Amino acid sequence: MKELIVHNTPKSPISEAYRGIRTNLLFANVDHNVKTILVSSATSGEGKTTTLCNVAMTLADSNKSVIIVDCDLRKPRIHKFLEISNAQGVTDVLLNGDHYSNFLHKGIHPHLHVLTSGKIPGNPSEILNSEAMKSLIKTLAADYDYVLIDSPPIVPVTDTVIMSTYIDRVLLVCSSGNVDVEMAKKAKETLEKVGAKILGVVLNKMKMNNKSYQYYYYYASQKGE
Amino acid sequence: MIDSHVHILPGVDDGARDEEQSVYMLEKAKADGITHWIVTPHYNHACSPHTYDELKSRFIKWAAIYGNSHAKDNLLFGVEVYVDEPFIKFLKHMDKLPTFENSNYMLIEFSRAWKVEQMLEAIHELKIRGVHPVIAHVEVYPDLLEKPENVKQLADEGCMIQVSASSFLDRHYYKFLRALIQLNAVDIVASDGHDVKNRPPILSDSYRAVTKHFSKNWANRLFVDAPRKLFYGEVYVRPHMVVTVTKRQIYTMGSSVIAGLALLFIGLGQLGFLPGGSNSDALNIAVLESTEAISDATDGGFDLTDESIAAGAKEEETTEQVTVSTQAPASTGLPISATTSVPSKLTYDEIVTIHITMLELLQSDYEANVARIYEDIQNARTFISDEAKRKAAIDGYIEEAGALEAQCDIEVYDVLYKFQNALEEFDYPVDIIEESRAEYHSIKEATKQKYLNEF
Repeated sequence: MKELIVHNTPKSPISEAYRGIRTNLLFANVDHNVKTILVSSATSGEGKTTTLCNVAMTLADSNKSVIIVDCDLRKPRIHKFLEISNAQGVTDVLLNGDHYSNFLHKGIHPHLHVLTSGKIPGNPSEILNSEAMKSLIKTLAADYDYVLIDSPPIVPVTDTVIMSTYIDRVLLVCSSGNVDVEMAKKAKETLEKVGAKILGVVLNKMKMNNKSYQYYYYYASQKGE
Repeated sequence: MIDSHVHILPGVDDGARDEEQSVYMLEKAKADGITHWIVTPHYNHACSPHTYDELKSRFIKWAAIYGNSHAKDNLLFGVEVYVDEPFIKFLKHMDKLPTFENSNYMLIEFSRAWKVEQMLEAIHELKIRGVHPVIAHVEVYPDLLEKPENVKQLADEGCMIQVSASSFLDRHYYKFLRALIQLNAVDIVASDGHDVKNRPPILSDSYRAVTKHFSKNWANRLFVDAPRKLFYGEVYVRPHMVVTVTKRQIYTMGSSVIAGLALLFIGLGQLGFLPGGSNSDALNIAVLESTEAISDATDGGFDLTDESIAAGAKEEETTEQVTVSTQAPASTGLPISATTSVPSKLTYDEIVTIHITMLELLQSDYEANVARIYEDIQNARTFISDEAKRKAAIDGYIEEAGALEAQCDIEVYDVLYKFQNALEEFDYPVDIIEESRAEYHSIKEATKQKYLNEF
């Protein structure tokens, strides 16, 4: 779990940034009506999984019960990131009608459960648009405080757009200097077209060489003594 | 030598039929110079219904009889696991995984139809349970055979890559195996012996073949060093490929790629005037010669690698660095600080090797394409009797060849561009790019002229 920064180096400025995301998330949700959050990005490699896992950890740290669900049925990565088994998961729940609790991973954090993708199916879009999927999300939303869902990138495939229609909010991860602005705009438009609500945007891979950011390091190093 | 994959345990799978044959195989292997065996019957395979414990107790009985008279304490028990979906799902219920008896190495095989993605998923499941997978006979999987880069992916995931000894004697696999060696994506060779005739349990012929086609040090690495680690359950770390290529060698390597292409054009240009049958042979020989030239050129580099392995893991690093820093200023003008201060980043030589390999993979694509076009032209000449039709057909093929050339430009330039970016990223000198490009241009121009003259 080398990239689970919040877990490995809880006092680093990056962890602090993730906690900032958590705070914003909690403030945006004073009415407790946002339960299911989809984490996605315009293109691949922008840091969806990293952001999702780290934010999930910070939420779990604040005593919320959290579940991570890997709905990237094209290139699932949660199990690699967390170094857990992916022999069974979401697709087994959807295709065989098993209860999701049979496939949970619980060892990472007391308040954090993980449901990996399971075997990759041939028709991800249809599966994600199925009634079974919708009812799974509903059940999870009832059982947990937060359901964080990993998904494929928005521009190349429709999976995320399909899911966003029955999910409360979308968190958009944009990699700084990596993704084309037009691409990010297109992702946003695609989501808005189907009526999805964007919770916010996480600017990722920000280069911290600007003077104005030095403060964070200074502060962290003071505090980290 | 140590044979790390052999089906010699009698009467349990499609290997040795009975004790007689098993003894015969042992004798033959012994005569071949093999002293140690990891006995690996099939497990979870259609031809072997036995459980791990059954196989093991049979092994103990068998080893008690034959182990003493043939090879004292030289037999180790393992199984060759057929990894499929049910096995992966069953993993979480298993108390003891079917690894080698003294270590966490597990010899695995898959369905021949599996794609690399499925293999990677299966390997993930094994790795999180502490298994160190050894993938048997990678050359039998079409998805790997067609794309050596896929084997590189598996190797990078932390698997040991095993190739069957007999494949080094088969010309069909030559290109694939050469690509693996250049990508540093092969670790171990074993016999996969099943019987005395078709798949014999011997290694020495292949050892000689590797020595001849690649280098003695690669042969030692594949046939001696890695199997020893496996047998004694020691930790295996894939040696870095410190190809200390001198400027002259880089130049020969780079230009031999292009020269190979040119050779092909020339060779094929002559095809029009030769009868059909002998053409392809002449061509193959020419290509084989040029590839051997490449491997000869790299031998010096591999030597150094292997010396440093022999010097032991701890000394290896210092040897490497000395190698780089003494060789570099004299030959490539490489800044010493760049290689020694940050060991984790790619070295100049690694970047060069990777990109040269890419160029070579491109080359092999073109070889196939150009060969096809010329075969078509040859066929048109032979089989189309109507002159107008024949001319039209041949014109079509020539056009296709032109398109191929344009495509070649694009792809070679793309690789050169990435090559340059990679070098610039670490502030290495980029002269090699300019040289390669100039070389590519001049040869292409000469080839084009020759090619037109032929027609």
